[in-house]
Amino acid sequence: MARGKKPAEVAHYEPNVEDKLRAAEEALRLQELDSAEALDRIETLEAQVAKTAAITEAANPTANLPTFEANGKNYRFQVAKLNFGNRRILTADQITEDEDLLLMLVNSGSAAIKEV
Amino acid sequence: MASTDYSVAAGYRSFVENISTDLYTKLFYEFRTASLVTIHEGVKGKKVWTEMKLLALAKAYFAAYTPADTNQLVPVELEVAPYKVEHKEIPQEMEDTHLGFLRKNGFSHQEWPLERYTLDKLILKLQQELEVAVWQGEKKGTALAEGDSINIVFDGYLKIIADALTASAITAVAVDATTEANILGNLKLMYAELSPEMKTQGTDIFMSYANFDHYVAAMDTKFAGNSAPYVELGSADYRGMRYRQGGGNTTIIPVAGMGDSDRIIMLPRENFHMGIDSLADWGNFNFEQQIRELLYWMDAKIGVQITLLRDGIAVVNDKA
Repeated sequence: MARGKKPAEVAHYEPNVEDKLRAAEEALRLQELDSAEALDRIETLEAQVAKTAAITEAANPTANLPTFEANGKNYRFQVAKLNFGNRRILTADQITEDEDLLLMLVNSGSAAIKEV
Repeated sequence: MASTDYSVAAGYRSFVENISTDLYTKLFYEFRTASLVTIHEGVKGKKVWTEMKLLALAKAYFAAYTPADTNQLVPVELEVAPYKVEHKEIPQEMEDTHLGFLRKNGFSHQEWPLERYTLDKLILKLQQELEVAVWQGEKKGTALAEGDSINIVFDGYLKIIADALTASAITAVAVDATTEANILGNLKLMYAELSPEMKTQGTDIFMSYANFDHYVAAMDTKFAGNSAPYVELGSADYRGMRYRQGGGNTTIIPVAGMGDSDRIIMLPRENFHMGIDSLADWGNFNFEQQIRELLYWMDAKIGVQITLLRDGIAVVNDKA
């Protein structure tokens, strides 16, 4: 009798496939986990970048204040608003639109602006 | 004749032990600015207290109890930073200058032993350095390194004001750079920004000696040498001047520590705070003898803060 596969061997084969399938599923799950973990890491990195930016901004709170050019030099405001007497308080943006005020600040050596 | 042996640390130690209270008081309480501001003793790291601002209290009558917001509580932080003093001297080499110093009428070597002579100079120099640091100090952005000056150990009053301006806590009054010709006008413009309550109560105007001299000269010109009375600021040789406007209850205070700064600050002196550590710590003054040299070392802490930096209460110009 030709030696054929014994039913037991066939039966034995089935669990192998299942194992492989389980292994594949496990690999897929791990891969998904990896992706999730990678996503977490990306989020953490993004948070860190944001935090660093916040710290940088805190260390340089004038970074968002307006800049302007006068007498061929560039200046940046160091304050958000200034009082021009008699409670005439103007914001840095408002002052930027008035060339006379800008020149007055530059010529008086005001610390409210800084050459950049 | 053998000359006197001055180089004994024990002499300095016993001298310091005898008068350490005086030395400490002199060092931390008697430099010009320290004699004006509010001093907090024993601040180890950070002292936090609460500043209370009362809002409108009196309202129209209705039976219901509806207090709404009547006060704002703002935490104020006074942080002190450690610093050290290290000094080396060879007392024998001081002999000639000390004896020369004593050769004046009425000077007794018992009253002015070498210990007092050298320590007095040391304390005077330290006072000058602290005076400058509490005003012009600007904390270094990066980590401190050995040998860094005390001027970059903590933020002084001028830096605190500059930061408050950037943070919009107060608004600077834009004026021209101070000269003898414009100082009266500039001060008038700034004084107008004070709230009427502050004018009633009286305040102080801090400025550099250069600007104070401008003021005195401008007043002399205007009132033909009959300007305004000087007022003593804690000691006979430290004087300011009554400000002419308002009720005569405002004092102009020249401050050596402001150096060349053109900043003018209107704010009562009580709102300038200084933290030190610590009055009870007599171990501050240490002497060690090393052959002929005397090694002197001291560790202490200092920091400053300003309260009530708000428009109407504090008025500053836009100069640095």
